Amino acid sequence: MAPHESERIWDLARGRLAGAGAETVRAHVAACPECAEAFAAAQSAVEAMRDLAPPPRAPNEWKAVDDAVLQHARARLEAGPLQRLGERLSDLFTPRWTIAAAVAAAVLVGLVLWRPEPPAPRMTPSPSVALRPPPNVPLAPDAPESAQGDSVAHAGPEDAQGDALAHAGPEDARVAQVIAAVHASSDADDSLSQGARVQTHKNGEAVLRLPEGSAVDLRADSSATLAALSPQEIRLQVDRGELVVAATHRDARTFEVVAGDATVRVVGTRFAVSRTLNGAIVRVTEGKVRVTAHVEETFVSGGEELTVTPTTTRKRTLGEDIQRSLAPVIAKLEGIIQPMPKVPDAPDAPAPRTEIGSKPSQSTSAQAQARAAPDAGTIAGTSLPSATSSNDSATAEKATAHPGSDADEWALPPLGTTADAGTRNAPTTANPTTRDAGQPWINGAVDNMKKWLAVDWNAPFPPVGMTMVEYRVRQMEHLADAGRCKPVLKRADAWVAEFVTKAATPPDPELHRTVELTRARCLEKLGRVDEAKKVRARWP
Amino acid sequence: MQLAATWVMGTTPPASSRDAVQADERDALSSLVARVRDGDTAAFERLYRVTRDDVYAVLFKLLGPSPDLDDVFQEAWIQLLSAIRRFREESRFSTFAWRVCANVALKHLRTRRRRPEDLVAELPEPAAPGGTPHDSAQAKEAQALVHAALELLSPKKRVVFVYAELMEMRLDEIAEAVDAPLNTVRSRLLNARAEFPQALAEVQRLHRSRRPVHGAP
Repeated sequence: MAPHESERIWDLARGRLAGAGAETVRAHVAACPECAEAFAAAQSAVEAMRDLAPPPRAPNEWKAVDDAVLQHARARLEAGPLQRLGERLSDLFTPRWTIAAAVAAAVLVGLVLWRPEPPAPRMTPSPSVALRPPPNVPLAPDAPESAQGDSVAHAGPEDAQGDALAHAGPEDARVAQVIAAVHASSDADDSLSQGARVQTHKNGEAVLRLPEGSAVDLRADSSATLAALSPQEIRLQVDRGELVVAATHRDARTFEVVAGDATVRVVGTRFAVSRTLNGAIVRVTEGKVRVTAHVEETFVSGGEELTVTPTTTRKRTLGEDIQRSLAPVIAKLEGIIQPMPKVPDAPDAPAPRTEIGSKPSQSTSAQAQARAAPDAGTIAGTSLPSATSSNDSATAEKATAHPGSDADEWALPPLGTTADAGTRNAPTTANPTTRDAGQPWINGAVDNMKKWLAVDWNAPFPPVGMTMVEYRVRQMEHLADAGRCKPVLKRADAWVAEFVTKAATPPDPELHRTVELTRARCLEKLGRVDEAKKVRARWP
Repeated sequence: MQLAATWVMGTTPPASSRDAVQADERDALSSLVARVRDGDTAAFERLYRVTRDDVYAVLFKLLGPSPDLDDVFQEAWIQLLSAIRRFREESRFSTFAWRVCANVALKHLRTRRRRPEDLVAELPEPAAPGGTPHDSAQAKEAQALVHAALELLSPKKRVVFVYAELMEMRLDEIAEAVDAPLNTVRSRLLNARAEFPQALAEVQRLHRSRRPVHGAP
């Protein structure tokens, strides 16, 4: 039996129907055995419920109850302001609300402290961490070579176990600069020049700045070869693991990353290339890359990933979790990349001096330091002394590796300083608003807080400062934007119906208009153009 | 102004005068409620005297002849007094009061779900059929059977069913009183209407099985 039939039958049984309406229902009941049975049941129920008034009570029976209620009321109403305040507070802290508040507080604390990417051991500050600040030391172009910052951190005989590399030499236009490296090593002897191979251990990481200003992050347990390294051509070969790239925009430069069968060509973008057992995965977070594999080219845009196997390529949307995991790395690299003021036209032209080897203006130097020092300094959780950018450091010709507390680990002091733990731990003057690249969990917490502060359109309650009525309207708009039109139509009906049936006051005209226009938008999307027109006609 | 003793649904006035009566009562009650919010004890006493019987009747219909009824009644007034500060007169005071009653009754009902056999065992002895001297006993028995059948409905359905069928409230009023969406209330009422006759029949069957046979020793 349909609900409306049941309603009508009960109305008839209660005598609420009269005239033609009653006759129609009676005729229907006569023709429908099921309805007749329901009508008989309803009639007997109504008959049984005819008199359910409470038995009359004598005044003396009321006395005890009246006295109790009135006595309580007097005590409550005649209470002083402090007592009233206490009662109001006790009303507020009912067990239900107390539990709700406790749960909300726990969730908030959890959101703030939850670390989606727990800090990997490679980022843990330790004496094994090797830091190399970007050489902000202004060097005279015609200065003797020995004074041009031929500062090479020698891994020495312990190179096989050396945890840090730092290079910046006279041929710095053709070498990669190690901004920070933890548990990383290179098979090149002293400098990361063309052909050098960089490896990171399971808990290691190496951040490099390439000669043309781009920055790369060789992730843990990875290996890459710097196959070509010049301002005109960068070619990196990922032998194992993952390489994250933040490439600067250069028209006159080719930038390639080779991983297995895949060759990735970029102009200016942010992406990651992972070498897998049987191929490669290219994940692009920003910009566009061109991937050549199996003699065919595929463009991969921001928010996409391409999986290359020995026989096929498959493109799909980049997962949010991967984007989240790449975000802090990309942010770190973006603080390192440097635009190149000028790129030589011909490969054979003399290598121009970059900021690394040339003598920039003081402001440039200061900017470079402001940009790079905090990142480099905090990558490993230690700080760089401000002396690294002073002219005094120009005299620092060689940085010497200093053994750390552990025999297997050693750390490099910043240029121009001694390897003194106190100076290494000196506080930076980094802008407090910048993200702390060395503390990914803090960044994660900040991200979480931002997400928490952002409106969660799936939440059953509105954000602070928004009424429930308005929140529901905004939810509808949000759903309509996302193309989920059928729920919008249902919600719009419910929203309007609720005001008609429940609310004592009419809805806010602007909100009502928004609801109707959202409804019209959805009707159009669903192809119900005529209905949409009618709605728009009512709400011009 | 003299308030009607049945200020809401107790006895329904003729439709023509109902709106006017309700408007007058609403004004008078609003005045009393405003004074109670200001801490006027006399106003509360007046409000209590005027509405006491109706509140008691509602709770009786919701809970039946329970020995705890007086306690629930007092609890309802305590809750009402606490909540009256939050009453902003966006709805009728009666709806506000029924909401408090529904909450208190629901809380009570949830703690005392019982089996039909237990319910029937608590009923008075079945009265012999027919005869004027037995009329009041029969009415009492019928009333007890209805309450026993109501007891078999879930608390939420029971409240909606009582408000709709025994107090003749409109669906939108019930929705406000029980703080639930209109369609939820409609659905609960539909189910309750389907379940109640069955529950009543079951209770009556069990009760008849206890009826003494005439002439038996």
